[in-house]
Amino acid sequence: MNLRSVGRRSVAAAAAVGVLAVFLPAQTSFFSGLTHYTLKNGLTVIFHEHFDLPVVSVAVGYNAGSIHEMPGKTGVAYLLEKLMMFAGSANVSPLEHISSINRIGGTLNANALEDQTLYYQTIPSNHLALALWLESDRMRTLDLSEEKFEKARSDLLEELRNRRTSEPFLNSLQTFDQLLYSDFSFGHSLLGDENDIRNLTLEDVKAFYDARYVPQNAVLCISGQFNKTRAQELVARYFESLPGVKPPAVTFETPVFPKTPFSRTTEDPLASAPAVFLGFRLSAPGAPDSAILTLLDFILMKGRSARLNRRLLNREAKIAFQLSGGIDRRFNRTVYKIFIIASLPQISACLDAVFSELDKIKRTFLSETEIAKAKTLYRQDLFNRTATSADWAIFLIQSFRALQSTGRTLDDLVRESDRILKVTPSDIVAIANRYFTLDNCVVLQVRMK
Amino acid sequence: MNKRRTWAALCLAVAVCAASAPGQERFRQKIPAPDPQPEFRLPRLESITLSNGLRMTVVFRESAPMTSLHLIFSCGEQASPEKTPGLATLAAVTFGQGTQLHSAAEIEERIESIGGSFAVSADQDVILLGFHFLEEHLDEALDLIAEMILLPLIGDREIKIVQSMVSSEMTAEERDPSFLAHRFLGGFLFQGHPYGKFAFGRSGIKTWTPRDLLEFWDRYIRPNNAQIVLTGSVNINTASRKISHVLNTWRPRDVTPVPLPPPRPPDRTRICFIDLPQASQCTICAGTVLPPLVPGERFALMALGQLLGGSINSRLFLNLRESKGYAYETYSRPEFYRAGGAFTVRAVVRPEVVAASVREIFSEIRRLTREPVSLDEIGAAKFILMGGFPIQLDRYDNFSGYVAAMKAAGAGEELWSRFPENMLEVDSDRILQTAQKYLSQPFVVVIAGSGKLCRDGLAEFDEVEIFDARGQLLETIKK
Repeated sequence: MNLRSVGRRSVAAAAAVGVLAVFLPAQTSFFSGLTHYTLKNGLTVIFHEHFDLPVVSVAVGYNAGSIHEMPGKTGVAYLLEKLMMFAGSANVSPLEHISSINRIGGTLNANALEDQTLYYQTIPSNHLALALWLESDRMRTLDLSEEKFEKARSDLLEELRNRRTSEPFLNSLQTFDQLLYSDFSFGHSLLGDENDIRNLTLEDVKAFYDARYVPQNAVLCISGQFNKTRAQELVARYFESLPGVKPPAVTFETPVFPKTPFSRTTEDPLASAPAVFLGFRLSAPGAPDSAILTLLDFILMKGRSARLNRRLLNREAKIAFQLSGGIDRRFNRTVYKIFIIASLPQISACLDAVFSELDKIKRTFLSETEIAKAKTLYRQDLFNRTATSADWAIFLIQSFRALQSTGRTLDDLVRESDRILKVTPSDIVAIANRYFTLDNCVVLQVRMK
Repeated sequence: MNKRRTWAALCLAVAVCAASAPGQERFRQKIPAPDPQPEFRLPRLESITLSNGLRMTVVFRESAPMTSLHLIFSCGEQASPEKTPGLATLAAVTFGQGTQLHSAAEIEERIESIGGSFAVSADQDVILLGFHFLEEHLDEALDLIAEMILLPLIGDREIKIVQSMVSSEMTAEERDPSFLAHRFLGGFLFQGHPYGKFAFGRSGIKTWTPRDLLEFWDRYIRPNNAQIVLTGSVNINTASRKISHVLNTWRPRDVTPVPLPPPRPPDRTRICFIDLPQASQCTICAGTVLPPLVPGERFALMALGQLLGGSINSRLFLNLRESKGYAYETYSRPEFYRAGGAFTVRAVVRPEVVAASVREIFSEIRRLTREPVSLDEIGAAKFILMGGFPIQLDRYDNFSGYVAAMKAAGAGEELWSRFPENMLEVDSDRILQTAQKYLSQPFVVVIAGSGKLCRDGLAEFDEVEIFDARGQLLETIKK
């Protein structure tokens, strides 16, 4: 077991970068207190120590999302998230996980995503052993039965029906994802297909759990106030003896997309106004230009004064009611999504506004002030995404996965963050011209029924 | 010899089997004991009053990347004139609507350029501005706050914009059963008291004029009626020097507070129903009034809120959800204002069991006023509150928000450094006395749901007052 520190080694590199020398040491210290190692069974362990309050968060992220589902078995990742929360495990009765955390004033939650599922709790720091015991027990032996499976499945079907009949644009978003990603693994919905869910069996759920809820497919992160030696002891006690099962190898080939504009129209009976989805396929996460794309996202859509927000949501112009989107990263794919609910009957005004703003970015260098503002917003966003111990734990697990998908480790975290702060106006022009083109754009217009 | 060896081996095997279930180590069978509790020392609250009467509290947090500034004005909705309800809300929203030097869009741009976020609110007692920004931009943030305070933009156009914003917000709120039920409950509980003005409706916002707002501003937006709470990587000396510098032209003026008599409990139990035809579930909000409390009662009420409906181990959850299967969620808590407060219970239930759910809620409240609570149950409630205390401070804006709320309520160290010891002092006798004193009072129950779906349930009550979503009394039905 070899503990590795992250955060300190970049100081020398930072000092060498003239213009950023003032800022980088602060950024480096922001990521200090970070160590990671791997157990013999393949479980990745991340420690992040900060000592402000006697609070600690324990999070476990499994490489188990909808992209890992097989055709005909959709919904199993989301269903399993529910079972992990409520079913209980060999030594923990149903709901005991929740009540144990609750009883000590703690909070907990879970989050199923397309490429992973996260479980996390925040507790008073002297109860670290409890959280590790609970997490190891449900990683080791989830207590699955026909009765619990049926209950979870019927709850999921009800949720699916409720959401599909009450949430405007949910169905059209699914259609858009299918068009944008184009393959089954990335294009199908995390919520699953109603028929697939109905046909799922307990054996399907067990098979997914047995294959994907194993140490080698998981990252455990402890963040907050704790004693590192004691934490190492507890991690070894509760996790080291879990069997090292190798998860099934999955390779996701990126399809070759035709370089032609693609536009389609659909109807949404729940839509109260016309809307449009736009998507641009970008490079893989972690590729050299991903830092530039991250900053471009702040220029385009993050903050009220971002380019598209100002243009589309302007009180006088009244082109749109709502604008959302940004970079969507799923394992080794990245796309840029823009979703607009129009305030005019024709959505062409929205499309014109988007492409006109993109054209401006492609043709004109951004001012230093605008770039500086985007970098400031990026830092604010980073601090907000790591505002609590649980946020830190989730951020570190997700960063680990994103870096891992491009063959890097958490040691590259500081460097990756610094790259964003080194982006120049010419980088932005180049990247906008490379990706934000009509040929690389998928448009789905949504009409009211 | 051989036989003895065999026996020894067998005994060892039995001992191993007894020690652990097949395939697992013994330590997995038991909940692990906690480690010793670490010393819990919160950062110090340092306070100072500037020469113009502005009170400041600074909480130094080393290496905090974000700084939070809360500005509190002691002029919540209770201070709005009778003829112009909602004026405190108008004043709060006006802070973000531009200044005499910069438009609203320019202000937004300046906030973003310092990595900031800005929010305003008005409750019964105070107007609260929350401003969070990157720590290196303290000077710019203070310049901006000073401009907002000293050079507000108040005119017909701005008032119209705020009226439209508040009206849209009310439209959204009218679709939210929980929000609506809670707001109505506040209105009914504090009817005739200055706190009742908090539940102002659409007719209120139509009365606003620039002149009213200017008068309100001139009267209440004064340094001697305000407090600043600053948390981040800044000490009190630097903070007070910088704040004095930017706000040195802000002049004090005598501020006569609106008289706040102790609120009186309801004189009878009332059942009020808000008809929301689209609602598939029923939200029940029940509450009673708390007059100004004597020391220690606050903590007993917090423990009562916790053990009645604060967690999945609480009485209401176990009764309404786990045992009866009536409720989707349950909750109870005390709400503290500067002069008193309210004890409220909320449950979201199936429409067909609305009457049965109200009966169960009352039965659980009665039980608290009649039977002493066991030491185990009190211990569990206190444990949750004490364990949850640092957790609720984990996020930087919650941390500063907690200090600001504490200061807004006129509270001090009793809710900060002495919170754990004050909570520890709560015992069975105090719980029972406090429950008998306050929870024996009549309750007002507000139910928000579909009249069609709840018809049978409502028929079980002796008297129900039916309102629409805007607070208009439609009819009173009697058994």
